Formats: sequence, C-alpha cells, structure tokens
Amino acid sequence: MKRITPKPEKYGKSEFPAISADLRETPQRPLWSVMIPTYNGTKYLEQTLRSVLDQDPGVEQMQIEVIDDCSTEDDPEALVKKIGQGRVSFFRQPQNLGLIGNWNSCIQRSQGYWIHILHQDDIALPGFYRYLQQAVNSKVAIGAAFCRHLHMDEHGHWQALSRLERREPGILEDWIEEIAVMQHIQFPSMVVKRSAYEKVGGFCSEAHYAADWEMWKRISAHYSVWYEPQVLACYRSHSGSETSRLARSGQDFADIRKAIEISELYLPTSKVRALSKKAGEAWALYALTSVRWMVIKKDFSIVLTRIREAIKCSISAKVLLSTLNLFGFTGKEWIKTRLSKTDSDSGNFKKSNGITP
Amino acid sequence: MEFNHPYRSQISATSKDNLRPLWSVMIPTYNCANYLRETLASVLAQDPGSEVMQIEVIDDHSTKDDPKAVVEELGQGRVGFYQQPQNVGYIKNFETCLQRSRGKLVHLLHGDDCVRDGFYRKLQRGFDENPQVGAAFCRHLYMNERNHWTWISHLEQSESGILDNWLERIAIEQRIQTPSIVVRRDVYERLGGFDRRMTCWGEDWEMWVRIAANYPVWYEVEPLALYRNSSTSLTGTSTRTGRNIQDFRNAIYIAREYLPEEKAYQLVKTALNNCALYALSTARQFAKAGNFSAAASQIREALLCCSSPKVLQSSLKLTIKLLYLSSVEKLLVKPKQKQLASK
Repeated sequence: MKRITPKPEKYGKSEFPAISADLRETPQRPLWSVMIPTYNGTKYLEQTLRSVLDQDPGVEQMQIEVIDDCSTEDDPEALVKKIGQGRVSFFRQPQNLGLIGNWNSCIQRSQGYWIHILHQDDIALPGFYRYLQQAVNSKVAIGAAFCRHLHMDEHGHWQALSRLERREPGILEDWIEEIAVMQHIQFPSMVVKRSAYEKVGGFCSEAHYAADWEMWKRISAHYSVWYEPQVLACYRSHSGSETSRLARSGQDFADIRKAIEISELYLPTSKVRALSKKAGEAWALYALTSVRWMVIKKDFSIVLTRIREAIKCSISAKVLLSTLNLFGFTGKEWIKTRLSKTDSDSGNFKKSNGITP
Repeated sequence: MEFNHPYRSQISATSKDNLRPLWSVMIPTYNCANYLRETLASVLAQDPGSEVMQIEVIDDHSTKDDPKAVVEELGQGRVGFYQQPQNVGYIKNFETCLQRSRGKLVHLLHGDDCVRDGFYRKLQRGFDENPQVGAAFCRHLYMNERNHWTWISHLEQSESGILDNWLERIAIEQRIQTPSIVVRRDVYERLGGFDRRMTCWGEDWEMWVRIAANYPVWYEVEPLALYRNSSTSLTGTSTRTGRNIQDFRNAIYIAREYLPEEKAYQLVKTALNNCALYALSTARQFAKAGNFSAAASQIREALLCCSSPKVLQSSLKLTIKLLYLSSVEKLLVKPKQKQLASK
C-alpha cells in the first residue's frame, strides 16, 4: 500500500475543529469510549443502550456516555438512569449545538483510546467490541476500524447488507481510492482512535449532511483502516421527513459536492483530480438510479431536482446516458400511471370480466 | 387416514409414550463434513437437553469425508449418528430423517446450513401459541462457502404470526429454504414424505405447498436460519441439462391438485412464468460464463414453461446474444488459440 504523507501545511487547524489532546497524560484511560449522541426522540434509545450494555467489559475498559443536544422533547436523562443503573453517564449540552457540534462534543468528552460514536437509533450487534478489539490489538498501526453492517428499517427489520470489502479481517488496501469515491461506511460500524481525531480534527460542519463521509475520507487519507467482514452493526434508515426534505431541495447532493471539494485539501496530490472526478460521476449515477425507487412509487416531483444535481456533480458520457435512460424510464412509468388511472375509472367493468380459465 | 401413495413414503406414527422429545433436529449429510462442524455447533449452542431435543446426523454414505468423526468429536455422545448402508440419494435420505425422528416438531437441517441463536425458542413460541399451525418458519439469510452473508430473504409480513393467504404466495414461487422451517411430525404422518417424482429440485417446495394447502403456517420475522447457497450451483449436471427446471415444472403440476379450484389456473400460470424467468436468469449466467449449450437448454426449458410476452422477448434477446457470442468464439477466439497452440 502506498503511504500517504500528511500535508499539514495545506490546511490549518482552523478549518477542522480542533480536538484537544490533554488526555494523553491521564494514566488510566479506558480502551473504549462509546459515545451516544441524542436529540429529541428516545424511541430506540433503550435498544441502543442495551446493545452496548449486553457486551459491557466493565467500567475500566469502557466509558459509556449519552450526550444530549439540549432536547426539547422526551426525557433521555430519565431513560439513561433507568436502563444504565449508574453505569451510563449522561451529559446535557447547555445549548443546542446542532448535529455536528454534538458529534465533536462526543469526541471531546471521550476518555478512551478508541471512540465509537453510536447514534440513538443504531445498534451494535453481539461481538462488536470483541471482534474490533482484534483490530485495536493489531501490530500494524491503524487509525480506524469498521465492520460489515446492516441497514434496518423503523421496525428493526433488516433490509440490506453492506458491501463485503474484504474476505478476511485485516487492513484494507488502497482504501483511500474506494472511500474517496463513495460512502461505504455507516456510523455504528466505525471505531476511530482518539489520537487520530486529535491529529486530523473533528467533523467539519461545512460538509453538513456529508460530514461523516468527509471524516472517513480524512482519516483514511492519513491512516490505515482495518476491516472486519462479520456483520456486527445495524444502521437504521428512516424513510422520515428529514431525508426527503433534503432530497427535495437537492441539499444532500450539494453537501456531497462540498465534501468532495474539502477532500481535495488532503487527498494524495497525484490522484486528487482523478478521484474527485470519479467521485462526482459515482454520486451522479447514484442520484439517477436511486431516484427510480421514487418513480416506481409514483413520485415524479423529485426527478428534475435529481437530474439537476447529478449534472452538477458530473457531465461524463455515462451520466448523460443515464440521464436519458432516466427520462425514458420516468416517461414509461408516467404513462403507466395514466393508463392505470383510466383503468380504475372503469374498474368495475373489468373486474367482472376478471381473469378466469 | 389410509396412506397409500405411489411416490411418497409413509411416515408412521411413533409410539405414543410420554418420553418423546419435543424437538427432532435431523441433519442429513453427504460429503459435507467440513460444514457439519458449524452446523452441529450452531445447534448444540442452544441445546435444551436430550429429553427435550433429539439431534441426529443421517449420512447418505459419504465417500469423501468422515462425518462420524465430526459427530463424535463435537457431539460427545449427545448427537446420534446413522449411516445409510449404501448411497440412496438425497430425497430418500430425507425420508429416513423423517422416519427416524421421534420428536413432535421436526427440523430438517442440511449438513451445511446453520441456525442462529434463538431459533428453537422463537419457533416453539409459534407452535405453543397456535396449536393449529402445521409448520413454522423464520426469515433467513443466504451465505456463501466462506460463511459471508450474501442475501436476506424477503420479509413476508412485518409482525410474527400466522401468514395470510400463504397458499397463494407459496404456490407461485419458492419462498422457504429448508433450514428455516419446522414441521409438526403428525403433519408428515398425515401428508407423507417428499415426492419422489422430483429428482433434483423442487421436492422441498412441493412439500411446503402441500402443507400450506392443509394447515395454517406461522412466520417469525427475525432471520434465525442460515442457508448455504454455494456459487458452484452452476456446475451441477441438473442445471446444465435443464433437468432442474423440468423438475420444478413437474412440482408445479403436482402442486396444482392442492390449489383451490377457482384460483388454480391463475396460480399455476404465475408459477410457470416465475419458473421461466428463473431459468432465463440462469441462462444469462451461463452465457456470461461461456457455457453456451447449458444456456441454450435453460432457454429451451423456459419456453416450455411459459410463453408470456416477457419470456418470449427475453428468450429471443438471449438467443441472439448466444448466437453472436458463439460465432465470435468460433470465428475469432478458437482460430487464434489454434494459432497460438501451433506456434
């Protein structure tokens, strides 16, 4: 693997929130810090906490803390007290910091050598810490480790498996070329060395929706990353309003473009142009193909926004061809909807003539 | 009920003593001792004790490995072992599994599949709460030879419980893999064993349809079973010759008898169409792998299943592709290889 030399001169610490390294002198630090950011909503928090407590190696080994971003609804503190029984500490921000501010506060407040930021609706599956400890103990220096993961819906039903990056546990080769192009890591599957955050800085609020992806790229540009092929974390995808609001405004892809731009500061100089171009194309194609699900569900309103965003990401031949395809597909679906509408108007007649042998 | 079926073995009732275990985990094996280790370990990890659960490995006279040694090593006397005096074929071996089972609930777990923690506990709940159900199955995961998960089966409904309209859903496509399902022994006693008219494929599906036609079926939403789907499936002779699709077509016609008269026509038609689409996707994989004759036999079988516009269109497209690819190979690749060889 090519070593990527850090280029601190290219970005001042001012651009990425600094993480203080005062802890270095502290004698007895736990190995793990499981930091659970919360904000308005405790529906899944119990499940999340239990998933960690079920594999708790003890207070010397693991710090567990819920960091609430000054919620205005629900009472996470009461729940933490009830479930945690004194094992889980609770911190409430004096004022609302926003998602990314709260993540950085999680890092700042962590005591352990390795940080696991686990959102209030995600889950660590049994064995998560045990298997990732293999990575932590590995002889080769690494900055982060993640495992294969699952996407689940609001009810906890598993929906999809993440890509298998590598067959055996170990360091990912040429990982920067993968992660710089596409987001392959979800939060609950990732643990990061605190000293890595101290070196590269915290989450960047400019990247907003894509701040996590930008962070994983930044870490991968500076450190080797370990992969565990077992499925050990569950990420909850919401079909909720926030995601669709982002999608409707096109803000999600604006943030992705911003993240691509920010990464140019630290990606290896020899590859930066090619990687940015590839990333733009990959996200454009993603924008165009993922919108098909909406089209199938008869939601045509978002198609034009997506095409606009895709073309802003890249105008390669592939993207243009895919745009044309999407037009064709949408047209076909639209005609189908029209036809079925006229069908359902005269539905009674058709039903009585239903298909019989 | 008088049981006299030319193609199905009778599963006779066991003695009605009170010492019968609740569970029978019957593990058929044939040349898969390396996977058997994991299979047994996954069962033994949730073993409720020998009074509650019979665990037995039934080997179809393996020639390449020694399942008995694995059973002795892992089972430490807890796991029974029976070996067929000669190879009887896998359907007959399944029959032996059913016949040798003594428990009230039979779990047929192939020697390369696994269960996940909680399988027996969760499925037992289904039978406890609903004594009328004939079978219960759970959502399941597919895995490859290296134990990596590759796919999650479809979620049949969002809550665990008795399935609605199950017969109509199972009658049109295979939705259950064997490690995920548990059947009451008296259901097998009443309906008989697996149908011998199928030789390589579809005998399991026919059984699940038969059960669905006679009993309610319970579903567990948690994925608690692992089904090994090896990528070597393309190398089997039955797939290369199209025998698998012939078998499945047979199974569809056999299962037709159980379907409600007014819906049977439509269900069979849909099932045949699904079967044809499956054959075409296999054909596409064969074409990609360069095995043109196997691809052609899959296309042939697809057309024998069904001639819906979609199937016709895909078949035509694929046939043209095949002709193109094979002529390219004949005209360009082979002469070049010859040239290289002669040099």
